[in-house]
Amino acid sequence: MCEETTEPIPLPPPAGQHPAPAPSASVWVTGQQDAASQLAHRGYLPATAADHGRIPPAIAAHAITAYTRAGALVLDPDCGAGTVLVEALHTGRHAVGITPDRRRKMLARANVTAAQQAGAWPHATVLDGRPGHLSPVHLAGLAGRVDLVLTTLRHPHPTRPRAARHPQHPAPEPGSLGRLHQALRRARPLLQPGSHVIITLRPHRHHGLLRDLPGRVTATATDLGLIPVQRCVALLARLSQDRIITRATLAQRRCAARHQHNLGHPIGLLAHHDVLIFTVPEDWAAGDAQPADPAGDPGHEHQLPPGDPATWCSRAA
Amino acid sequence: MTPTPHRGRRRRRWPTPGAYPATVWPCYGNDLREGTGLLAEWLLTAITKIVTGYTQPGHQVLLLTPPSTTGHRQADPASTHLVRTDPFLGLHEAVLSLVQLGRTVHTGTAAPPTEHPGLTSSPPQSGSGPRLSPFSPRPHPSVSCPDRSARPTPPPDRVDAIITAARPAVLDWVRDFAWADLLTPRGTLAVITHSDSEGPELNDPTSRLVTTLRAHQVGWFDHIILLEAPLDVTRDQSAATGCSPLREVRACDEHSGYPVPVRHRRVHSDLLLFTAQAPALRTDGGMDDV
Repeated sequence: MCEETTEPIPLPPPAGQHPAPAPSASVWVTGQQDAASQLAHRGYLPATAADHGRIPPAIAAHAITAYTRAGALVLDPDCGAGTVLVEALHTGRHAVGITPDRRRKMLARANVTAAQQAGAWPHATVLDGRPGHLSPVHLAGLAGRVDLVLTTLRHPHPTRPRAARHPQHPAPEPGSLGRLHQALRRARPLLQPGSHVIITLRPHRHHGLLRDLPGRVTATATDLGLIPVQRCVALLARLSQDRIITRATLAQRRCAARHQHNLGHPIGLLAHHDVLIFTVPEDWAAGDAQPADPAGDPGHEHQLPPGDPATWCSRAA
Repeated sequence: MTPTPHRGRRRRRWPTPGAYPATVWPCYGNDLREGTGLLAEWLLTAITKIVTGYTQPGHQVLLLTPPSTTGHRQADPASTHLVRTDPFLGLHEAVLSLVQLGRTVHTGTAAPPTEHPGLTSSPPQSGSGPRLSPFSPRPHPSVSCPDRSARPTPPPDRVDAIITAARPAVLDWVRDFAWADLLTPRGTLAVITHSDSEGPELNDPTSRLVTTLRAHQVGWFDHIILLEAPLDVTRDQSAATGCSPLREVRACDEHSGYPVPVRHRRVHSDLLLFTAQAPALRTDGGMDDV
C-alpha cells in the first residue's frame, strides 16, 4: 500500500507582488550577436571598435542588470572607450569612468553623449586618470557610493610595435596586472559594503601555454580586501541549441594553428571570457572607504549631500 | 623546351573553420549518449569529446577516478546517495564508449592522501577496481581492450591520455602523482573540475591545480567550458539587447532588493588540459592571444 503525498499547490503571489526571478545561469549567453552588431545596436561611435580591450556591450549589460538596481552607480576605473558607461546608461544606472588614455577619454565622452542623445536619462562622467590629473578631490563625492565596479584586465594589443614585445623590455603582463591593481586601488575607497566588483578576463597565452591570470587577479583583489564569491563564463560565440558557433578572426585562427604546431594538440578557438565576481565585505572598514584627502578634514569634505546623484556627478566632472 | 614548373611562393594553408574546437563545449542533449547509472550524460559526452579530440585510435587512455569526498569510502555502485551527490564516481563507466572508439582503456582509482602507507602500493580494492598509489610511478589499473577476444594486456608504462576529475574540496591527491611519468611525450592530461560557490567564499580549484601540476612538469595549454545543461537563450539575450531601457528598469525595481544577493546557478564545469611536452620557446619572447 502506497501513501499518496500531496504537495501544496503553489499560490499566486499577492496583487502587486511578483515572484522572485529564477537565478540566472553561471554561463551568460552574451554572444548571440557579433561585436559589430552589438556596437551598432547601441549607437557607438565607429572608433569604439578600435578599443580591443573593451568589455563587450552584451557582457556589460548582463553584469549591470544582474548586480545592480535602477538608479545605482556603476564605476569602470579603466573604462577605455566607455562600453560599461553606455550600457549602464541604457539600463537606467548612473556611471563614472576613469581612463588614463586621453584619446579614449574623448571617445568615451562622445559615446556617453550619443547614448544620452538617444534617450538615456541617467548621468555619466568620464574622468582623466593620468597621473597628476586625477586628484582625490575628484573622487571625494563618490566615496562609499559605488554599487558596482565593472572592469577588465587590459592586455597590450598584439599588433603593437615589436620593440614592446622584445624580451629585454618589461614584460607586458605585470603591466596589465599592475594597471588593474592601480585601478582597483583607486576604486576601493569608493565602494560601499555589500557592493560587487566584477572583472572580465580573456584567456592569455605565453609560449603557447595558458597563463593563470584568473588566479593572479583573484590574488590581487583579495589583497585589497575583496571576497571572491563566484566565477562565471560570458559567451562570445553564438549558442544554437547544442552547437557553438565561434567568431574567431583570421588572426586568432592563425594563432591557434601556430600553437597547435608547437604543442601538438588542438587549441580551442576563443568562445568565452572568464568573469570573476567579488563582493565587498559588510564590515568594510570606514577608514578604507574614505579616499585620502590632501586638503585635510576628510570627514567634512567627504560628506555628500543627499539628493540627485547628478549633482555630484557633474561636480566631479 | 619544356615549360618549367611554376615555382611560386609557397603558401601556407590555414585550417578550415571547423578544424579547431571552441573553448566552450555543449555536452547536453546528445540522444546517442544517454549516460549510465553512475555517469551523467554530460560527463560521458565530455569524455567522448576529449578522447576523440586529443587521441587517435589505438592510443592508451587511463580513466582515473578521484578519491571520494568521504575519504575512506570508495565508489560503491550500490550507494545511490553518493552517486547523486558526486557525479565523478562513475568515471569508469565510460570504458565501453571509449572502447567502441578504438582506444585501449585502463581504469584506476586514486587513493586519498590520508591513507598513504608510505612508498608502498595500496592493495587493490574490490568493486571499483584497483587503486592507484599516489607514489607509484606507473598505473596499475584494470585493462579493457578493443578486441574482446584477446586477453587483457598488462598496462603500459605511459599512456597517451589521462582523464580524471577533481573536486574543489579534495585536491591533495593531485600533488602526489608523478603525472609527467605517466604520460607519453605528447600525452594529454584532462582534469574535469568545477568551482564551488555554495559557501560564503568561492572555492575555485583552477589555480591550485595549475600550480600543482606545473610543479610536475606538465603545462596548462587549454581551458574548456563544459555546458552541462541547455541555456535559455531568449531570456539571457533580452537583458543585453532586447529590452527597452524603461521596461528593464521597472523590472529591476520590483524584483531586486538592495544589496543584490546574486548567486548564479552553476550549469558548467571546467576542463583543464595539460601536456607533458614543453613547447619550444619562441625567440621573440612574444605573447599571443587566442
